[in-house]
Formats: sequence, C-alpha cells, structure tokens
Amino acid sequence: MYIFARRSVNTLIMMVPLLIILISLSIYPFISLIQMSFSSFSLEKGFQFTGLKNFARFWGDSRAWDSIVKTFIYVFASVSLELFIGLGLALIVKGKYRSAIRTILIIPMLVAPVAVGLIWRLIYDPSFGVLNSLLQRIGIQGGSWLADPKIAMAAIIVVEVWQFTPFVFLILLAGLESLPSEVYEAARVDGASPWQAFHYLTLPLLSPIILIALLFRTAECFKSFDKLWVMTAGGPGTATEIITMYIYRVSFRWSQLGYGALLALIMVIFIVIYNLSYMSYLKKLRRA
Amino acid sequence: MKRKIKVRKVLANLVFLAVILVISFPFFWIIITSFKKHIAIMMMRFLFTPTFDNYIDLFFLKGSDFPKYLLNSTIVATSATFIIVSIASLAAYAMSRSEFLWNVDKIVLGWVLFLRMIFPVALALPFYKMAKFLGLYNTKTILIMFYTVINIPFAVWMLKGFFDELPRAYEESAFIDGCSVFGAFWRIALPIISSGVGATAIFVFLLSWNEYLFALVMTDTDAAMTLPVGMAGLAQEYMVEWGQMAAAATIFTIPIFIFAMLTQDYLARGLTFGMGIKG
Repeated sequence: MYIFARRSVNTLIMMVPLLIILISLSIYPFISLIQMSFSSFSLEKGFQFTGLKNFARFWGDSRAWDSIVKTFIYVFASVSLELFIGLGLALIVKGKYRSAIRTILIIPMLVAPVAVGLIWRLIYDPSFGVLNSLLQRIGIQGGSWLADPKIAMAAIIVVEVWQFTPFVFLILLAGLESLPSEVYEAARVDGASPWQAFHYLTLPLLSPIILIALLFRTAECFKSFDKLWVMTAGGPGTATEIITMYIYRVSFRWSQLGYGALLALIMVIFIVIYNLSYMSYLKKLRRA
Repeated sequence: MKRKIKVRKVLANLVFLAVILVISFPFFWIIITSFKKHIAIMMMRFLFTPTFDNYIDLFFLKGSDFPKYLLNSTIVATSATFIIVSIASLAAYAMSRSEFLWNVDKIVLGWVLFLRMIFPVALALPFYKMAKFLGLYNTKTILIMFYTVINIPFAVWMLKGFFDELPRAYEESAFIDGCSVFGAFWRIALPIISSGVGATAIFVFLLSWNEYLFALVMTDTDAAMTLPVGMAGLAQEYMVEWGQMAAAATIFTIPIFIFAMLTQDYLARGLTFGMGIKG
C-alpha cells in the first residue's frame, strides 16, 4: 500500500513540467485573449476595456464577413476536390501500388506551406513562370493567375489540392485495402456490376474512413495562412483574403490587437464546436 | 475479356504515373531553378549551363543573412524539440500508467486536443502582448516557448499511444526488484519505444522548422528571424531574387526529404492524431 501510494505520487510529479507549461503558456494566454477581445489597444494607452464595442464593430464589418464567406468557399472547394481526386486515384491503383511511390506522395504534405507557396509563385508567374511558357508551347495564352481577381481563388485552391490530395489518397487507399475481399467475391458471383459493387459495397464500407479524412482536412484547412499569405497576401484587393489573413492584418498590420483578438476568439469558438460535434457524430456512428 | 482488363490496367498505370509527375514536378522545378543564372530564369530557357552562383551568393555574399536564418531555425527547432520530447514523454508515461485523482489526465488530454484545434493566430496574439511586456520580442526564446506549447499536443498524444501499447508486465518485474517509477520509465519503457520517440521527435522538429506565422509576427531582425520568414522576404522585396529563393527553398526542404523517408511508417499515425483513429 505504501509503495503503491508513493508510486502514484511519483507519477503525478512526472506530470508537473507539462502542467506548468500548459498553465503558463496556454491557459494564461487564452484568458488574456478573452480579456483582449473586450478591450482596445493603442501604443500610447495600452489596453483599455471597451465592453462590447469590438463585437458591434464585427457585426457591421462587411470585410470580416466577406472573409468568412471566402474561408468557407476555400475550405469546401479544396476539401471536396481532394476527396474526389483522392478517392478516384485510390480506386484506380488499389492493389498495385509500390511503397517507393509512397515516399514521393508524402513529401508535399510535409514540406513547409511557405516553401510550397513560393514554389507555386514561381510556377504561376505571368512573365517567366513555367506554367505560362508550357501553355504557350501548345498555343494557349496563359493568364496572370495570382493577380487576376477572377481566377486567383481557383489558383490557390489548386495549390491546396496539389499539396493534400496525396494525404487523402493514402488514407483512403489504406482503408480500401483493409476491406474484406470475400464480400466482393460474393457480389461478383451474384452478378453485380463494378458500379453496383462500388455503390452498395465500397462506399458504405469505406464511409467511416472517408468521414475521418474529411474531418481532418477541414479542421486543418480552416487554419491555412502561410501558403496563401506568401502567394497573394489576400490580394488582388481582397479577392483571396480568408479569415486568418484578415485577423493577421487587423492585429499586426493595423495594430488593432483588441479587435483582432475578438475575431480570433470567434473563430476558435466556431472551430471547436465544429470539431466536437463532428467527433461525437463519428462516435455515434461507430456505436451504431 | 482478357484484353479489356489489360487495357484498363495500362490506363490505370498511366493515370497514376501522370499524377506522380504532377506531384513531383514543382520540387523538380525549384531544384532546377536553383542552378540557373538570373538571366536564364528571366529568359525562360529550358537549356542552360548549371551554376552554383545562387548557393554561393546565399552563403557568402556580403550582407546575405541566410546563414543567420539557417542557424536561428536550427537552434529554435532543435531546442523546442528537445524540451517537448523530454516533457511530453514523462507526462505521457504517467498518464498511460496511473489512475489520477479528479481525472487530471483526462482534463489534460482534453485541453491538449483543444490546443491542437485552435488557430495558431489566437495564441500568437496574447504571446505578442506577453513578449512586449517581458522584453522577449524578437528573441529566439519566445519562439522556442511558442513552438513548445503549440506542438506539445502532438507529442503527448503520440507518445501516450506508444506507451499504451506496451504491456505492463515489463515493468512489473522491475518493480518487484525494487525499481522506482522513474527508473521503470527511464530504463525499461523509454528504451523499448525508442523508435516511436524518434518518430515523434522528427514530427515535432518539422512542425517547428516549418512554422511561419508566429515567426513573422515575433521577429524583425536577423537576431531571431527564421528561415521561412527570411525566405519569404527574398521574394517580397522590390526585385524578386528567384534564383536565391529557389536555392534557399531547396536547402530548406532537404531535412524534410530525409525525414520523410525515415518516418513513412509512422506518418499516418502522426497526421491523424487525436481524431479518433489508431494508426
């Protein structure tokens, strides 16, 4: 008994460094973020409590709402494209896939978003980018991809899809290869077409894994900043300004830390509710 | 029938080959560009004589801050990794092995997951205030502090998974021989899962190495500026130094290539942590 008690005290002691770090560097800053979102900041006066003034500003701030809408467009378009392409590829290469190729596929998702952004800026460059010069060779006049407000959003979505489709692909492929082959045998004996096998067997069996891949990609995609900031900085105008960029601009370019904190707090509340409800939905599925 | 299947197989392979080409082309292109002279980049020449000028300029040109950035990035990412792995492995072992009063471990794991979900900018704001207040603005210290707290969730979840899989029987016999909890952790549990610890360290290192937003907010001179910020800076001034930028990006990406090859098997686990599936 004595030994057991001493053992649990010792394990508690092993937790102490983590607790210190979490309290001083995350709980305290988070409380401070909440305080900041109810105050205004200026270099001369520091922080001053202003009540709900930031919130009123947010309510009437069309640029903020606009950037939220753009965030949803960006996330929805990117993630659905990643899913469709990833699933299609996984179905195509199922069973004949070499592990050497896997190394190539995982590199894009590990490379820093900043580097990815810079590389694609070089590719997209209107006057000496490789994309336009390749297009020219087959007789198509290329555009200025990142500077044209009509196509800039599509151009950055392409980069996002390029970087993370392999991730979705690898997860779905692992899922596909773990499906029981007897079921497909039986379906074939019963005369099911490939489309029927896909619709009635693969999709339902794979759906938990698809949902997990979706959850993970959406949660990460909402946080995008680096790549986009390097490629367009929200431009041209505000054509590609998603919410993280707007928060950055408000807080650190315009030095309105109070208002920036409120925007950040609202987005945190949104993303946490989104993730938690998605996860509890997944749990319910698993139990059923 | 047989012929139809063959055609389909060839088609499938072709599609996959095309995808591999599209995925690897940008990296191939940036490496090629880094060996081109400025004029060859501007003229869009596909044939050119390779040169090391861009690399030499990056390292030895007077006024080039690149070596400083490289050093800063290395120091910051290595220190953060070291701190994270030490603290997280202790805590993960404790949480995996013990029953806690008031479910301390559950609360900690929940908070850690919350930290993983939120936007980095939401923590960067109060950190900015804190840094100004403590006089830590534009220092490597504040970067290390931030990377420690933002990446520790990863390490805690991954390491706890590894410890959970380890049967307790290993340590039970050590306890009978009079080993302390810390001794069991240090001499038995940790060495057994050492490859998992290595993979965790690599992930955490890459996360800190790649981070951009916070370094952009917190640094303004080469005293603390890291590679991502310095590299983006090369492309943001009036004239873009594409050659140097390509060389910088190539050097910056080398550790990632190496680590990608080393940690393939742990990757699925690391990338989907805490989201309800086991690797």
